[in-house]
Amino acid sequence: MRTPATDAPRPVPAADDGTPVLQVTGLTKHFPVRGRRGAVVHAVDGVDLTLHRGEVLALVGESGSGKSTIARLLAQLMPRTAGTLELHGTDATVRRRRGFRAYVRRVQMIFQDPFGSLNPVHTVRYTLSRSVRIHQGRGLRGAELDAALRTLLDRVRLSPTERYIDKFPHELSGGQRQRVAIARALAADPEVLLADEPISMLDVSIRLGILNLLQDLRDRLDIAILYITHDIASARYFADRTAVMYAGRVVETGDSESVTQDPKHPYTQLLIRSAPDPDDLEARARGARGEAPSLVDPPAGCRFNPRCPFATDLCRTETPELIDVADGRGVACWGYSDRADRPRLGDVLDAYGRRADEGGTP
Amino acid sequence: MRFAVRRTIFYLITAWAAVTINFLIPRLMPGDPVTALMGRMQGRIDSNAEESIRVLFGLDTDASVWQQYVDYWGLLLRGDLGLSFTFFPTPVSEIVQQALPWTIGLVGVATIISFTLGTGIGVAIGWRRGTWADALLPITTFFSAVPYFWLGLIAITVFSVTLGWFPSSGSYDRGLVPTWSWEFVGSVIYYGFLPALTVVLSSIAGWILGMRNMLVTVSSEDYVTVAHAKGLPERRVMVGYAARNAILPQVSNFALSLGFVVGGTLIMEMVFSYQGIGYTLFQAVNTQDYPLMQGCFLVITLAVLGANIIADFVYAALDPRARQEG
Amino acid sequence: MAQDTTFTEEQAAPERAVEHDVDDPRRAKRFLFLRNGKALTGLGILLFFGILAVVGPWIAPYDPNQVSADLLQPPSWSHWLGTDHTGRDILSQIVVGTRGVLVVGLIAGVSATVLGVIVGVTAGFIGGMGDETLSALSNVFLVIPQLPLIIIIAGQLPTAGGVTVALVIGITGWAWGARVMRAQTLSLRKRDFVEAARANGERTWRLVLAEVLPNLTAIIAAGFVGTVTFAVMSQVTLAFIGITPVSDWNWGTILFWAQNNLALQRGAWWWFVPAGLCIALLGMALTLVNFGIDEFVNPRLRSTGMNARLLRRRRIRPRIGFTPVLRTPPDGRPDVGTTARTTRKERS
Repeated sequence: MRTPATDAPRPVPAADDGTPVLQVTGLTKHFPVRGRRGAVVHAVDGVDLTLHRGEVLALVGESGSGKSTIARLLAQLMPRTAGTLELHGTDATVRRRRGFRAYVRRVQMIFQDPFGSLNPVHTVRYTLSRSVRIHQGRGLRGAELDAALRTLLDRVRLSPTERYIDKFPHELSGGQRQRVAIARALAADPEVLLADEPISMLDVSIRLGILNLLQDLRDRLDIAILYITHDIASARYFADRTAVMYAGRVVETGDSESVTQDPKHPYTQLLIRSAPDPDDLEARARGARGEAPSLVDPPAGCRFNPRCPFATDLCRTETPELIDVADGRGVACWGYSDRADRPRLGDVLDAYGRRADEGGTP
Repeated sequence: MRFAVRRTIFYLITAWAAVTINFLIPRLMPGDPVTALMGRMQGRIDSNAEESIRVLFGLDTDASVWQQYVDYWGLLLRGDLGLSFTFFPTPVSEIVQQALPWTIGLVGVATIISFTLGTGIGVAIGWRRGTWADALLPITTFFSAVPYFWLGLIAITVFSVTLGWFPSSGSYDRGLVPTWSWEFVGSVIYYGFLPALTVVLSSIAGWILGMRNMLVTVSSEDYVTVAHAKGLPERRVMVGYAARNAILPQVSNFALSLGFVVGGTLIMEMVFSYQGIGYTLFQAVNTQDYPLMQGCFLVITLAVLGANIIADFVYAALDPRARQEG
Repeated sequence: MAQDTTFTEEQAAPERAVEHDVDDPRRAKRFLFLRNGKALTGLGILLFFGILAVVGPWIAPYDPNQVSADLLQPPSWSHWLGTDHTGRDILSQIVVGTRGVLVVGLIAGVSATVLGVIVGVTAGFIGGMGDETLSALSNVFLVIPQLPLIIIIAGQLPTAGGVTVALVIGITGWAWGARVMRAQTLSLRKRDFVEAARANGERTWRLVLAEVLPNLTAIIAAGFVGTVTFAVMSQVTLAFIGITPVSDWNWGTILFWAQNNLALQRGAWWWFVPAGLCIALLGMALTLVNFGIDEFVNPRLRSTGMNARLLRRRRIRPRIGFTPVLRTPPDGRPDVGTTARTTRKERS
C-alpha cells in the first residue's frame, strides 16, 4: 500500500506518567530443532520493546524475522526463553490459568488471517458473547449481553448491528471478519492490542479502513497497539514509532516518519528502497542480494553482515547494540559507532549496483 | 531404516498386547466356566496337562498375577497352548497347526485376489466416472452391506443344492489321501472354489469403493492435469500417475482393515465347514472348548500381524517417502 | 476460467455449495444433506426399521416362539414368509427381531463412538508422548482382528445378552474412529481460531468442546454410522454362530436356526433369504447415509457421478482432472464439448 504523501504526522498524545504500559527487555525465544539434538532456531534474540498508552508501535521486518513470534510471546501463548515482561512496571509473567486470564484481559491479540481466526461453526454472536462473558462477567445475559454486543459491533463500525450479529464467518467479507476479530479483542477492554499483520490477508481496498479503525480506537480508547507488518509504508502511515527487525533482532528504532524517510541501517535502507517505484524501475534491478540467514546457525556479529555491502571484520565478529543516533532513534550498526575500525557506510543501492555491475567488492 | 525400526517396535507391542489380552480375558470374566469343565474332566487329564491349563486360565489362585503372567509366557514360548477338551487329549497347538495352512490357503488367496481385482476395478470405475461404470457402485454397495456368511448360505443354495456344481462343505474329497498328487490338489481347488468365490464377492466391494474414491480424489491433483497437458497417452496417465498415487492409501488401508476382513472371512469357513482356523474356532465355541478358543484367537492375531508386516513391506516398496523416513 | 461460461442449474448448485462446505454445518449444510438422494434413501429405510423396532412386538402376526402344526411351510396367506421346522412364523421372528438388532447396533455405536472421540480428540489435542501412546493403543486395536476377539470374549461370558454383546462390540470397535478423529483434531488444533480462543482466555476443556468438536460433527457422524454397521454385522454373526442366547430373537438367530436345521439342504429359502435381505437392506441404508456424509465432507466425490446422466445426455465424456462446463448459448442448446478446468483454488 502506498501512503498518500500529504498525510501529515499526527500529534503524538502525551503519555500520562511516562511508565510504559508494556515493556519487554532481552526478549529471547529459541525453538528446538526436531531431529537435531541441541540445535535451536534463534527466532527472537534480545529484543527490547516498550509500548506506551495511546501509541502505535510498528514492528517491521521480512517474513521469518521473528515478528509473529514476538506477538505470541507478548500474548504469552508460548513461554519465552529469556527476558522480562512488565505490565505497568511490574512483572507480568503468568504461570497459572487464572493469571493468564487476568493478563489477556489487559493484553489482547488480533490474528493475521481473519478467515482462520474465527471458528466457522460459530456465529458472530457466539464468538463475541464468549469474549464478553470471559472478560466482563459470566452472569451477563439477556438484554444486558445484547447491549454489550451491540456496543462492540458499533465500535468496530459494523452497523446496523442486527445485520451482522447472527452471521456465520463465511457470510462476511474479509474486512468484516477482521472487524469482528477486533471486536472480540475489544470485549476485554484491553490496554494493549497486539495486531499481528492485521491487514496483510485483506484486499488492498479495505486495508485502509481497518487501519483507520485501529487508529480511531487508539485515539478514543487510549489503547497501546503493537502493529506488526512487513509493509513499511503502512507503518509510516499508521504508527507513531517503528522498530525494524532483521533475523530475530531489532536493527533500528525511532519515530515512524524519520525511520522511513531517513533510514540509517543499511538493511532499513534496503527495505525501503526495495518497494517498487514506478518512476525508477531500474532501482529494483539493483535490489537486495542474498537471502535471510539461517536462524539455526545465525552469522556471528551483526546478522546482516553476509548481505551488507559495507561489512568489515568488526561486523563479522561483534554484535552491535542499538546506538543512539538522534533524538529517540537507535541503530544497531557499527557504522554509527565511534570505534576506529568501524565500517564506512555509503548508499546501499549504489553499492549493490556496483557489485552487480562490476562484480567487485566495495 | 527408521521406518523399519518403528514398525518393528509397533509389531512387537501389538504381539505383546494380543498375548496379554489373551491372558487377561479368562481372568476378567465373571464366573468360572473352566473350573466347571475341569471338574467334568477330572481324572481324564494327566497332572502335567492340568497344570498348563491352570496356568493358561488363571486357576492358580494362590499365585500372584505377575507370577501367573510369567508362567503364561513360559508356556507360550514353549509352544504349549494346553489341551483341547473337544479333541481330548490332542494339544491345541497341534490342532491349530493342522488348521492354519488351510486358512492361509483359502482366506489368504481369496483376500489377495479380492484386493487385486477390487483395486483394478476401482481404478477403472474411478477413471470412467460418470459413465455406465458408475452403475456398478450400487451393486458393490449391496455386496458390502451383506454379511459374509449369508452370501455363503446363498452360494451353497444356488451352486451346490440347486445346481449341484460344487460340494457344500469340506475341503477335499474324503476318499483321497492327502498327498501332493494332481488328483488331490485338484480336489482341494474344486472344494475351495465356492468358499473362495464368496469371500471374494463379499470383500471385493470395499476395495472397489476405496480405490474408486481415492482415484477420484487423486485425479484432481495438479500433477495429473499436467500429465494430461503434456499429452501423455490416457492409459499412461491413469496407471502411472493417478493409480500409482491412489494405491498408497489403499495399501495402508489394506493393512489396517485386514483384521476386519479376516474376521469376516473366517465365518465363511464355518458356513462351508472348511477345516481351517475359523471352523476350528467355531467348533471350540460350540463345545465350550476354552483352550482351543484362546489358541485360535492367538494364532489368528499373529497371522494377521504377519500379513500386516508383508503389507508394510509392499507399502515401503511403493512409497519412496516411507523408505526414507518414518 | 472463461468469463462467459454459464453453469447449468444442476452443476452450479454443487459447485457453489463446495465453498461453504467446510464452513457452515448448519443451514446450507443441513439443507444440502437432505437434498442428497443417497442420504435421503438411507434415512428413509432406517426410519422404516426404526418404527418396526418400536412397534414390532405388537404388529407381529404371531408369537415368534409359538409352535404350530404347519411345519416348514413355504410362504402362504396365513404365513407370509412361511414357517420353520417347528411351525413358528418367520415373518413374526423378523419383525420381533428388528428391535434386538437396532438396540445392539445403537448401543455399540454410541459406546464405540464416545470412546473413539475421547481417545482420538485427546490424542490429537495433547500431542507429545500422550498422543504417541494413545495412537499406538488404537493401532494395536485396529490390527487385532475384532470378530475373533469378540467371539472369545462373548464365548467366555456366562450369559451374553444383547446389551453385553453391544458393550463388547463397543469396547473393541472404537479404534478406527479414534484414528480418524485424531488426524482431524491434529489439523484443527493448529488452526488460528483455536489459538485465538486460547489467546482470549478460554479454558482447555472449552477449546476442545466448543471450538474443536463442532468442527468434527460430520466425521463423528460418519464414524458413528460406520460403527453401527459393524456392530449390526458382528451381532448378527455372533447370533448366527450361536454364541449369544438363541432365545433372543434377532435376524442372526433366525439364520442360526435355519443353518442348524438344514434349511439349505431342504431348499427352505424363505427361512434364510428374508432375514439376510433385511440385514443387507439395513446395512445398505447405513452405507448410503455414510456416502451422503462422505460426499459433503469430500466435495470432489460429490460432483462426480451426480451428473452422469446429464453428461451422457449431452454426449460429454468426462475426463479425470477436468470438470466439464456446459455452455448454454442464447438459443438454449447446450454447446457440447467445451471443457474448462476447475481446481480447488479457483473454487474457493
